[in-house]
Amino acid sequence: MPDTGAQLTDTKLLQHFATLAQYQHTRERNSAALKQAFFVLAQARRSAGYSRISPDQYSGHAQPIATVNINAMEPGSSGSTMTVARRNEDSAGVDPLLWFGMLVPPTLREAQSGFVEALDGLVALAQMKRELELQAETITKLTQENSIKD
Amino acid sequence: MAPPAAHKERTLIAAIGDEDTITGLLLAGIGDIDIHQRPNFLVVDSKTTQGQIEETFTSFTKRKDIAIILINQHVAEEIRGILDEYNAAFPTVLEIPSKDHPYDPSKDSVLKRVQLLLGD
Repeated sequence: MPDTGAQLTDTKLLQHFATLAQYQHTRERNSAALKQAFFVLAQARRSAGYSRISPDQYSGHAQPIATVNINAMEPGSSGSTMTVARRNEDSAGVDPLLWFGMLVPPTLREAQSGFVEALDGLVALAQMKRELELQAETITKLTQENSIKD
Repeated sequence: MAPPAAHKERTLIAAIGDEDTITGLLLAGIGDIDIHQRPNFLVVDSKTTQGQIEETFTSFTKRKDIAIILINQHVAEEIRGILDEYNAAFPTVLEIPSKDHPYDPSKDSVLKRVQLLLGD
């Protein structure tokens, strides 16, 4: 008779390793994307003048254009999923690019695109982190149950 | 499992980081300043104290409208104590690289937790 407790633990461990691999792969890609976005932002600051692209220009009013949707997963599974929601230009408030003046260097617009893309990766990483935590809880519980049976 | 509506009000992405990180994330559209003039971000510079970072982090964790807190890895190191104690599901905390401090997997608390789990 197969030991289903150990088998289930093994399945969960394999799932954990798979999510971990996905996390590490996404981290690498995202870190490269962020590095590039920081580089382009530095170019924009050099081009416009460092004091012209700084916290001094941040608006005193802001409404988010990029937010998160937390959705419960299908019935029968635990946890939830987080995805980025982005308001379209029609309904969105002021584009934060405009905080830095009406005439911004093209590199600042390029940096913005870079950070928009990187943000998607960061939310995906946050979601994976959450999944890893839930999986770890399950594995710990199963391991404890298995050792009680032994 | 929490009911579907439980987290519907958690929509904001908050951030604690250096100037370039916050400027970048604000350009990406995360910025929110609510009716009480509370921003969902903190720029950390040479004058920012550990106490201020801890206070902001703690205030973000208590808010019901924040889903994720992004924090530069090198800033996270300054408040490692309270970060390690934090274990709520939401807001989810994610450490991120900065311009001057690239991502360091050896300092990634996510990887450390996996190692801890497998080490048992």
